[in-house]
Amino acid sequence: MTSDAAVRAIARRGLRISLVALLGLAVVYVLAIGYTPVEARQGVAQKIFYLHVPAAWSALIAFSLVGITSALYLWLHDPRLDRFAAASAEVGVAFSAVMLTTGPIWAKPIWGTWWTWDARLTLTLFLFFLFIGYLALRASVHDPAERARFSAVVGILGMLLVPFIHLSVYLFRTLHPQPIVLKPSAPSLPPEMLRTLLVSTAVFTLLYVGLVTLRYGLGMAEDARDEATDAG
Amino acid sequence: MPAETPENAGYMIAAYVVAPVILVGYLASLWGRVKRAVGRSGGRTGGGSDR
Repeated sequence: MTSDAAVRAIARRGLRISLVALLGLAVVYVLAIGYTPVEARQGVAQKIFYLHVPAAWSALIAFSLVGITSALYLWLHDPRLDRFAAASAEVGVAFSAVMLTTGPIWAKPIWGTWWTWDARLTLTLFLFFLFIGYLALRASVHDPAERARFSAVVGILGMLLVPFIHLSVYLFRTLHPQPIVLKPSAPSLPPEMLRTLLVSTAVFTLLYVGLVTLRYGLGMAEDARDEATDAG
Repeated sequence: MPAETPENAGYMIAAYVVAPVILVGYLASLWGRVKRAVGRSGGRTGGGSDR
């Protein structure tokens, strides 16, 4: 039996981690605005990079972990893996929303257009819709085992898009900038920019951990409620 | 002559407002959903295993 105390303890832990991460985000703002230099060609709008890239990182990590835990669920049938996958998918959608709004806000002054249908952007939008579909699928199937099995398959298929998105700038002609940190050679950024980017990436990763913990606690409460309803 | 640095701070401000609105909004909605889920149960969330 899942006690409210257990759900509350996990949810409070998730909330605390998330609040610490949001304080970290305030530090990122101070670093980005006061510490990092203004890029000469792009102007101040370049600083959107310190939110957009870590949000993309967190979203892709989230969707990769959905795929990995979904595959493990199909093997081990442990409901905790399914619950984690559901939590990671929802949090990944939130980070994708940040990525897909900050990207066009950067693109407008730099490219002169809010959006272009190039490979990186289009694949990222598909991934976002795919995981919206994943969440809709979960909401529409009542039987827990069936829901977990169906959504695990979609989660694994979604994860397969992640390496294509990362490599799309090499595989296709695209307007999107090439990777400047996660690439075979050394990062090509001035030290102040690299430090701020790394701090921001750590903060977004911590926020991912906090939000997933909180969402996992909610999943525990929902699963227990469903079981109680079925038993009654 | 080097090109002038463009004046586009408004876009940065927009992005720096939108991102925390999405993230804090999602955190608040999650916390509200947890409170409702726990509040509805009246002490026990149900008969399920917490595996």
